[in-house]
This record gives sequence, C-alpha cells and structure tokens, in this order.
Amino acid sequence: MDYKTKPLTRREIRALAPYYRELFDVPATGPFPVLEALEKLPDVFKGSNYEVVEDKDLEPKVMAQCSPNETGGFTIKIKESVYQGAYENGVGAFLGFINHEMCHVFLFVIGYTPIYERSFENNTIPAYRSVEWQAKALDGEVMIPYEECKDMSESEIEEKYHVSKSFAKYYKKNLKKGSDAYEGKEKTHW
Amino acid sequence: MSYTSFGEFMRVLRVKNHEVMGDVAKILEVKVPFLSAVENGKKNVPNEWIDKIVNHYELNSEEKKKLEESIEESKTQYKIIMNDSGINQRKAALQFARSFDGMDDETAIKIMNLLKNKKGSD
Repeated sequence: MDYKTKPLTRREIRALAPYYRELFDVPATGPFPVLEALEKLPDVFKGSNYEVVEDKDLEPKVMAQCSPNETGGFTIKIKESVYQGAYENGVGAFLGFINHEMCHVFLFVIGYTPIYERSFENNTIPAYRSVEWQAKALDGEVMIPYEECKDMSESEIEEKYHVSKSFAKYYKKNLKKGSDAYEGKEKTHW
Repeated sequence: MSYTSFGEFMRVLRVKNHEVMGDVAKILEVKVPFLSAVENGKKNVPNEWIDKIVNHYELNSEEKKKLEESIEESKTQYKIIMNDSGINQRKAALQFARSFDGMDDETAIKIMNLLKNKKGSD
C-alpha cells in the first residue's frame, strides 16, 4: 500500500544518501553493507528493531515490511527466504528489499511521514509524493553512490554494488534525472 | 515488540565482532527465525546456548555473568515445581501467575518494591 507524503526531487534524495550512509558508519562510496547496517538499526533509530520471520508469516508478495511498534520506533519484519538469500548468497534484490524498508524508517524520522488520505486522481500518487517511490529512489542512491558510478555500465554496477540486474537498469535509466524537477507518475514496483 | 535484554546483548556482541544474525544462527545451529524470535522475546533462550556463546566469543567471567543476567531478564516462561504443594498452595501460585498478565510495568515495580521492603524488615 502506498501513501502520499511531502514532495522530494531525485536530486534532494541523492543529497540525502551520504547522510544515511554516515548514520550507519558507512563511507560515501563503495558497496553498502545492508545486513551489517541492519544490526545497527536500534542505535540509529531509537526503539526500532528487526525480526526475521518464517515466510508464511508475511503475505506471499511481501518480502519485508516496516511498521510502527509500541516503543515509538519501527519494526522491520523480513521473510526468512529473503534474509537467507541476502546472507548466504548476497542476492542483490533481497539486499535491496531490506534496505528499502530501512529507507522508510529514515524518511519517516526526518519528516516524510505518510499523509493519510487516499483520494487521488485515478487512484495514483505522483512519484515525487509517493512514500514508496521515495524509499525506492533513496534505496537506489544509497546502494549505488552517484558520483562513483555515473560512468559505469549496468553490469559493472550490478557486480560492484551487489544489486539486482533490474535495479541496476532502473538506476541507470534514472541517473540523468538528478534534476530539481519533481518526477511524475511512475510504477512503484521494482 | 523490541529486543529483550538477551537480544540486545547479542546484537551488541555481533556489532563488535562485525557479524550479523545469520552468523550467530550458524554458531548456534538454529534457523534465523528461531533466533530472531528468541531475541525478540517470543521464545525462551535454550540453556545449551550459553556455553556455545561463551566459547565462540571467548567471554570472560564478567561477560558471562552479564549474558546469564540478560537471559534471566528475558525469560518468557518459568516452570513452577509443585510436586510437594498442597491444593491451596497450587491455587495461590496459579492466582499470582494469572494476575501478572494484565499488570502494567509501573504496578509491577511497586509490588516488587513492597515485597523487597517486606523482606528487608523480616
């Protein structure tokens, strides 16, 4: 489910990525160690934690899920198959799913909170105001540092930053969009 | 649900040793969701984990004590042996156990303090 939030351009999101990395003690360049960063979640976002749950405990199409918890933070639930795939085989898509949920926490904490209204024209939310798009875009900017990779090929990006082929493709496609313009309607799935 | 004392103890240990939950699950020979459920207070810490953790991380006696304390604080179930208890003692034990379920933290602390003070005056 997607929600509307305050607008963010891709350039603004790109500018947030180094701060996000810094919060987890990760340098601004190089691959982002998602699972190591996940361990630091409670240090970075007070009251937040994660759980690895059996696959049957989340809806079939849900890989990981972030929701507010009773301590004022967030709990990220991750399917066992997703965590194992990220841990054992470094599957880029799975690492991306996990970091995507961490991006939701970060964006929420810095003020990009969901606006609980769901009556939009044609039931769509413009990408720049979509909670899901913003998390997806930040996920990409964190996993693939712009300055370092802007001249790389898709396969180089995939190999160096441990991201999926489709995500490397998505990122390359959007590299040129680092403008101040708000991006329009966009599908919010990977 | 947040981490228990044991969960937090293990998380800090992992961060210090540049490990992740998957590494610890391997050390303890369990599946990650089980370890995660234990760390989040949904399941009790199995007794055999203490030695495995102490040996793997080469914990000193002080650290081992902290680990044991964190396990004690994280227990979700206690076993009450009532083999030699009479019917009224059993009823009283069950009544106490049931009353914990709906008790908030503040009330629990006040009762604990009352019991502690009473013990002190005995």
